[in-house]
Amino acid sequence: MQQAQVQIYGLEGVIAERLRELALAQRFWLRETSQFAACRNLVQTSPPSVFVFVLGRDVEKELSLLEQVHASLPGTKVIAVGEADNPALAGLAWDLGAAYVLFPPTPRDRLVELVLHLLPRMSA
Amino acid sequence: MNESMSDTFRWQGFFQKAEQPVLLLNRQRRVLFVNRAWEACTGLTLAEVKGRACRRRSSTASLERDEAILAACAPPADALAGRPCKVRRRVPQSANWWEIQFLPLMGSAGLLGILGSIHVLVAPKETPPAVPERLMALRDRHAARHRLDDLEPHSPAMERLLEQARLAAQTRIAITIVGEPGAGKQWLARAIHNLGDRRQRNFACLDAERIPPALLADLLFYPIAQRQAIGTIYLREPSYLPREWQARLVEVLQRAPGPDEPRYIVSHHSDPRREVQAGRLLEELHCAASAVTIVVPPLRERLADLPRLIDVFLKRSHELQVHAVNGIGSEAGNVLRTHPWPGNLRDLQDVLTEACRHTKSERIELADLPFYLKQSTLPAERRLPLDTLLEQVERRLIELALKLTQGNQTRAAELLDIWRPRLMRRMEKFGLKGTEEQGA
Amino acid sequence: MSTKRKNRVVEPHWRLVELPIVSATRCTGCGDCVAVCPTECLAMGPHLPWLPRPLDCVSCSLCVAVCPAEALEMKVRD
Repeated sequence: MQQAQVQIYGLEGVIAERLRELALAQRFWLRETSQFAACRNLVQTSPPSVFVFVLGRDVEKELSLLEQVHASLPGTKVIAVGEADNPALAGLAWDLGAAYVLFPPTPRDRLVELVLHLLPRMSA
Repeated sequence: MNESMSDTFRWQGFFQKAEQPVLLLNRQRRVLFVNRAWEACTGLTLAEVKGRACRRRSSTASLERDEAILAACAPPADALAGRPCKVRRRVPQSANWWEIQFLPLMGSAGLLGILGSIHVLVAPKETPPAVPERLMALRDRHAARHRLDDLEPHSPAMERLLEQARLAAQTRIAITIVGEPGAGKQWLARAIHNLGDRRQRNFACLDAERIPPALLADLLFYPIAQRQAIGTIYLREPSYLPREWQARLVEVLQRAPGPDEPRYIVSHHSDPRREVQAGRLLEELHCAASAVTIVVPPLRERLADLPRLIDVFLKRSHELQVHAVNGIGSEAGNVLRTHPWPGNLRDLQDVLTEACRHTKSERIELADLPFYLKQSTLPAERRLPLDTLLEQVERRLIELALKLTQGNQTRAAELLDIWRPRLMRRMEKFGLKGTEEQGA
Repeated sequence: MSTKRKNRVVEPHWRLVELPIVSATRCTGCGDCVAVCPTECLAMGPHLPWLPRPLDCVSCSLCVAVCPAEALEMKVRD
């Protein structure tokens, strides 16, 4: 059953906490994964509405998953988050189908607003 | 020299020592003063600009250099309303940008003048670092999913689409793609990008309907897109952009793109002329973006493509699932061929992906397809015995409360907002047990 | 009801509540499940019901009980 579900991978600290607060306020399901294999498995078995992942721990696997999600799960919007200013990596994430690529200098706290806007909406 | 004149002289001298370019405008936005740093930055002298107005123009493409520079220094509405603010403006005839801070000066009768200071943002000279080779293979895999050559000209509409797409791939002018939701507009935009001479640069899809405008501005109007080597910006539903930004986008589109700047592909899921008539889309923007307008036909008008699309989507479904599905049974195939597909390719992909999850075999059969495609007989109306259903719900909620409180009846009663004796009576009726009470 | 653990605010019942899942092959799109849901956590999509507010589900299973096509079942979130 389609459900308002946000999956995050690699996010920690204040920004993760803000997303948890957003989930409670908006009543969507926030699923957190810190291991890549578990993350990939979850995306496949229970496709989220929004998938947020930090790009950089294992770039090849992460970008490969992004590419597959874009091709096979068109209903899932992917946000790629970068920890350091890396225009080449950011550009590649756009190219492989991210709905948004959030790299410095864009402030990371824009992520919460972005997730809220990308969640599926109720039709009239 | 009297005292007030010597004061003025010292203030001008003070500004002349500043390394930052500074300009002072009166309330009519006419230049009162610019310092030497401003002259050096712009190549214009105080004598050339004094008394001239700094006003925004709808298009700077045809302006002389000095007029374009004065337009770039125009204070925005916020400054004219008395609010300090900051803007970024493209430096005329340059790859650089200015970040201009405006400080309105207020008198007893309102705005006296505006002080502006410029910070020059220099575009990076270095080309973006090359993508590592192993990641190039990923790009190639993605590009292979979006090849114009995979489309066959089954109909006049598709022939026209292919012709226009090939033409669009050879130029860098802004183009428009129109088609129903799910018809394949993004696919086509990517295929055009992959055929063009900018294919080594990146493709970025920006959804103006879903993404907050401020986050779009970073890519549409500032040099970030160049730094990230974006060769094509695909902008979905520009009618959702604020009007002011639609106007800025017009300026961008009317300028011939520099070698490192992206080309624009704009898409609409309804007729853009209706969007213009309804006042949601600026006519100038539609004109600037529609030198070529490509119409993507809905799936129901290109059913000859269905077998190829089914094949593509089955393979893609297999990439994310263990279970491989190779084909469609004949009854199921008939259903797919006769459905009108109001949701187009997106709908088809969703149906096939779900059917792949459902099927236990290597083929999708009729039973694996959703009910609404099959139009089978509706189930008989069922009774809704109120008392039975209410009891069922009550039992479920009590069970949940006990689970959440590890069987503690006092806390479960609090959770359910009922008295504990009532909870105990109902638990007895349903044969439910809690844990032993540890005290009140 | 929430607990704070290491600055994390979580809903502890998350792992215990069952959520409805729909069988697309059986669902007729009648919308009765949406109509009866006491917490209004369900909504109707173009063809199937979906869960815009899964955290609001209290797994009362009324949706399962009223479905004329037996297209819904409750399952623990994995």
